[in-house]
Amino acid sequence: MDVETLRASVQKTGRLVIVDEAPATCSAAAEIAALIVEDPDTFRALKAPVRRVCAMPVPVPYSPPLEQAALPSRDDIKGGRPRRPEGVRMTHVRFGPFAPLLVLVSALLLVAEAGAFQLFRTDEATIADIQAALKARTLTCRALVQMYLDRIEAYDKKGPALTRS
Amino acid sequence: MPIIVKDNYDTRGHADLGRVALSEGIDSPRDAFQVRKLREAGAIMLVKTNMAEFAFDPFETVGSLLPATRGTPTRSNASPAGSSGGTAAAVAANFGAVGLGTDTGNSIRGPASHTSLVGIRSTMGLTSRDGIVPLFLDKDIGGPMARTVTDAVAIFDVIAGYDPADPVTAASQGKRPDTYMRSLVKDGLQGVRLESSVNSSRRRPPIPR
Repeated sequence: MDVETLRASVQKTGRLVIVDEAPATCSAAAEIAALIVEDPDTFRALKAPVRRVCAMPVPVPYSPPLEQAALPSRDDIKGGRPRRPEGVRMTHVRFGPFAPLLVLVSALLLVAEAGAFQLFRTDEATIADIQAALKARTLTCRALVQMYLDRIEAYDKKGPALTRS
Repeated sequence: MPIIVKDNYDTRGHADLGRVALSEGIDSPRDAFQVRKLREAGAIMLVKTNMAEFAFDPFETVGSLLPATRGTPTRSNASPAGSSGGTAAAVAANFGAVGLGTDTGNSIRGPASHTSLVGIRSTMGLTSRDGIVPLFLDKDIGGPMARTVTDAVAIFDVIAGYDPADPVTAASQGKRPDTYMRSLVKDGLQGVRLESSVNSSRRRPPIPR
């Protein structure tokens, strides 16, 4: 994660609103908020509390209208307010005796997610994307060729099978 | 940069020239000029692709070496057109970074339009025909097929140039810019009027099953 840019931005504006389509608890938004307030200089630069505008604390629904209701909307972002079910008062989540385990699992998920940010995807990758990833050493030529060969193996004659008699 | 190459380009280490049963098992002894230029620029020739036999069909990509390219990545029962349909379908399906096709009578343009790609059929003489299986020498043009205009131009920059093996390229000497990248101007088409005639070509025949 590009923490330097985040901290520089907060030091400039004194404010931070984090918008994420995931629920706020143990989320990437939580991690970003922590990274900002942990740094003494950035913490002192804050003129207002950090706001997280995230999805409702529910599994994201499959039905499109319900999904829309659960995800942060344009107005939520404007108002800098978190998404809450209407008429429902948020209570503190009680993890019970499994709390340490849950914290550990969340931490592992975060690490996995942070890794995913670095992962190169061949989908719609341009020459410039590939060159940037090679230069940043997040991708090797060997890995790139293997990713394309795996894709050909998966879709040329199998699955949607572009090549067939 | 992993490149997808149409089968009618001479490419060392790859067989099946021209997707014709006649040439089955023949290995290319050398690289076509365009392939050589790309290799010199650091590209990897990843795979060779299906094409219409002898590059002779603008509608479909079917050769005497089966199987055929029968679908596009977005429509499994639609023809990718021809004859560079193999490269078109492969680039659109992200099988490689960019591709090479050839165009004698719509064979880059048709497949590119069927698969939402950018293809460049250049003016005769900007690129060498060396090492490309000939169809009609006065109309054969090899060129890039890519997912973005910038990618297509990046490849075109590498493959365009004078090749002593193809005398037609001599005419372009001194007339080519060092790079075509400068032509990539955002909003560069503002004010330009484009026209197209939707009914000028005959209907595409149905795809045989």
